[in-house]
Amino acid sequence: MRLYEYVLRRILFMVFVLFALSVLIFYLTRGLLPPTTALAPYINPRLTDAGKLSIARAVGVATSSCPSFSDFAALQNGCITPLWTQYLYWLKNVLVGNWGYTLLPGISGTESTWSVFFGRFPYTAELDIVAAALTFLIAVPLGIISATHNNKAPDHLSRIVSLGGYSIPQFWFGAMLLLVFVLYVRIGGLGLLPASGALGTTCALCFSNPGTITAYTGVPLLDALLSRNIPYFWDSVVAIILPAMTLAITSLGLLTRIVRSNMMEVLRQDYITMARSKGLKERTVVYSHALRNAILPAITVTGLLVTYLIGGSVIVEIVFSWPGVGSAALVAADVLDINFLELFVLVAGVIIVVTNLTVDILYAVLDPRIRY
Amino acid sequence: MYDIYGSSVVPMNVYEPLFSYNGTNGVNTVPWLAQSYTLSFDGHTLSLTLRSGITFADGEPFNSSAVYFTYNRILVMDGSAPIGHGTQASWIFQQLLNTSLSTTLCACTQVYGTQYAQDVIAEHFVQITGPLTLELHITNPNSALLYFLAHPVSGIVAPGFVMQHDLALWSESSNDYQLPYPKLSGNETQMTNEYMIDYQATCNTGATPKGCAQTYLDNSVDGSQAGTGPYTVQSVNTATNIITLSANPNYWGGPSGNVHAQIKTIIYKYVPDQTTREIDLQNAAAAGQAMVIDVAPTNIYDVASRSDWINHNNLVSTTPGVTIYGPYTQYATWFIPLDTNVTNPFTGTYYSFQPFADYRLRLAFADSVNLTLINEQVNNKLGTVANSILPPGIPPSGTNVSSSKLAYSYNPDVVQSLLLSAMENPITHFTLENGTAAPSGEFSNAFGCTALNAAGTCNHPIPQTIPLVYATGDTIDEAILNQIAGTINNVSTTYNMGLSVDVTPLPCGQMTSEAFSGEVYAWAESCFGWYDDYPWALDFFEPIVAPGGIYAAPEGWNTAQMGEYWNAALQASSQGDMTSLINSINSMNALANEQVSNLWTFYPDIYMVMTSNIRGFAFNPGFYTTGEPSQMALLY
Repeated sequence: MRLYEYVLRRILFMVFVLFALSVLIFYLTRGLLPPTTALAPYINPRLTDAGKLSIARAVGVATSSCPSFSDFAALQNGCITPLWTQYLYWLKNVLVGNWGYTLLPGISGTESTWSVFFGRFPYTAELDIVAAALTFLIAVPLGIISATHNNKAPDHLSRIVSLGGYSIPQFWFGAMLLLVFVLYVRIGGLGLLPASGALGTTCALCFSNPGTITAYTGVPLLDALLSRNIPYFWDSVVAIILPAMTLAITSLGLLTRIVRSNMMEVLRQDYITMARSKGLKERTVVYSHALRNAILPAITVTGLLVTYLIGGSVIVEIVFSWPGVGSAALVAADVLDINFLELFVLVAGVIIVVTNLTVDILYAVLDPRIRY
Repeated sequence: MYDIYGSSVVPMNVYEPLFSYNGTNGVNTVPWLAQSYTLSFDGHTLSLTLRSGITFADGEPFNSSAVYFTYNRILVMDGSAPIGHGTQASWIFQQLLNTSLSTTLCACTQVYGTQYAQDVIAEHFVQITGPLTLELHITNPNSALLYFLAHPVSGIVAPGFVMQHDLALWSESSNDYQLPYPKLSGNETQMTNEYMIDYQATCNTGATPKGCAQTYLDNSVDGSQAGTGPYTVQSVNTATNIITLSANPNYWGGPSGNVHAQIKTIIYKYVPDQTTREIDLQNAAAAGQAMVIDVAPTNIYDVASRSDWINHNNLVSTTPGVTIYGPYTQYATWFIPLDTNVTNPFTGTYYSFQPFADYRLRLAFADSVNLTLINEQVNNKLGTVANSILPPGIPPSGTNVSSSKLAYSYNPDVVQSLLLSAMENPITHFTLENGTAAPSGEFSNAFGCTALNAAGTCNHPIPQTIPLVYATGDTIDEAILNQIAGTINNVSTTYNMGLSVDVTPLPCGQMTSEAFSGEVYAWAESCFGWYDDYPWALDFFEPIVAPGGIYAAPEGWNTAQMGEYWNAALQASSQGDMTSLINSINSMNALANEQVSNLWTFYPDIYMVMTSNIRGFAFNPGFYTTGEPSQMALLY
């Protein structure tokens, strides 16, 4: 089939996947739990039964004809909206962009889920993109070194770094980085790097008054560049180093090993032997001939890497107080902010599916032998 | 007026009430924005003289019109605004007036609109008698009146600023509100009344969170310009969770005239990870910066010397440049409700087995746990084992809280005899929540067997399970419930009773919603703790032990007797008869303890962990805090 037909099929499949995801998460959060738990974020001891009932109606769980909250809690006939009706009510709203109010503590009921999510999403995107770039920058050379020094010290070291990083819990590694670069490494009485947040202003490498920027995109690094505020850009870079390193180090293991094994296989090929026998420098053989062929399978790992980074960002954002959607999603799970959770899962689903589709297309472009 | 972290600490430093507390004392109120006051003999009229020369941050003068506006605004909002706003403030004041106009107090659905606003205006709660004098007309006198007026949510706001910004917000074309008075006119009182009618015009009938319009003070950083406090909000970033406060250069200085914000900029950061907070603190201390952090009781030994605390009861910091102050006791109590009339959350029907309808089983569960040991080993002694719903020191002074007698104490032998008695002679009479007798056969408290065999065990025991729940991550309540389960299950196994107690963690929100929907047998309430709305014993009693309180009364409670004590307390409070009030409080306390409706666990301590370059702060037990100083202007 032609590429565009393949892409179209995959997009249609993506829509189906997202629909299935939304049903699944809705069922897990609304269907498996008692109807009263839909009120979880609103319930406080000072709320009257009348208040609870009106909330139950507002979230679409109680029918308008339900006479009292005790009837609702007793699941009396005619009081509970059927689950499929609740889902359709929810779906109808989200398709027109109405995701309701967020229920995150402190801003519960005052900010829309959509605005809170996409106000925080650029921070997660920024962190994950930087972490992905770091992962590639570290993993690929590490894999090459490992392959070209097979079973020698550099190979063993590479194995320790990659497998060790993969095995280390992110929360622990993040805390260790904080100890080292915030407490132990100090210049002028200040820790080298900031401990928390997306902007560091109280560290040795920080500008204390970076000024302000205009939020063109919501991504601090980009906005700082667009605002031509170099101190703010610098402070944002400084703040992202530790969380991005934590994510990168703990996720580069798979990519390193794949690059290593692919490189080793390619380096055994006849055309590599031919290239060497022609007198080409080893550097040219490795980077111009071998790597180009070895890197292709590594691209397919990108899809897995994105999945890992999205999941890993939840923990890393908590450790470093990074104001992204990952940490907010954890809180949303605790307070059962179903809309926020749904949005998080669906957006993550879109990213993963689109990334995998992009990877597949890229693979076909780079390797003309590939046909779908 | 709650900040983005759901506390009132930021608004407390931006807005100020007419009364406050005498520094660290949570008992004595002192005039704050008010200069002086006189309460009529019958408690129906409070005459106030306000201080002169005070301005709001936006430059408006503070006067009696501002009080008229603020208090009527609280009343007309009636908790009708979107979630997280309004509810807490309104009912505190509405207690003093026609309670049928309070959604919270009448448990009814209000019909909002012009008539509602007119009804609120007609209450004549505030009567301006001069530029700096006014009277409050009180329908229901209450001895806790000054505590109401000292509550942080009653902070006075600048009327001109608020009216201008609210009307602009409500008039935005995207909102589609039809305001009867798109432009306010007349004197300040008339403008306030029109504002109230406009606000009511934005309300959908009864529905929340769509409810009534948001207000400018809900969401805007600039809202702090409407306060008289020592700080204004410089910026709020809900994406990065950072609030920055700046010292108000025109602050009036407090009653002494000498209070000024010595720390010019305060940055509130939300740092969810305990380890990160501690590293941040150590970094700040080493760098000479000023910082305060929250430290959970289970992590106290990350920052404090264990030997000093265990052996000498001193919280000594192990970090150079960091000092720990405290511990102090707040007006807060943790407890575990023991519920009856519990329903199945999936079917809505009552569970047949209602163990806590039986006094013996309530007592058995309460006797199953060694709270002293758990306080030492899990809570790290950062609390006091509770002997009453009332925390020590809560006003009115004179209650015999310290000598309150509990019906229970840790005693596994007694647990055994209680369980055997409950098993061999289960109760057969049950009362529904509405006070009527349950139909025969609807409930059965049978478990195990009615007679032990020759071996002293049950043949073919009737199995029953009692799940206990606590909030995920709450290690202290986990320990309490696990010990209860262990003790009960041991006895059950010994006699083959078939009774099994499970302990389950639930997310806080889910646990709370199921509990307040009557779907949980017993649950650890420390999810949010029970702390005062205002420092007054009756505030504690009303929801928890008074008849009709939001915690359902189990079968076997002497609610009639409790009702008599409660009514007597209310009457005494309205008459200012402190002797009778205290006697009624003590009687209610004794009865609640005797009935074992709840297992009181701890009065949690609070302590402040901060860099040593902060040398002064004020702690007030009446202000709930998680470990941060609440009055920033007193930091130096």
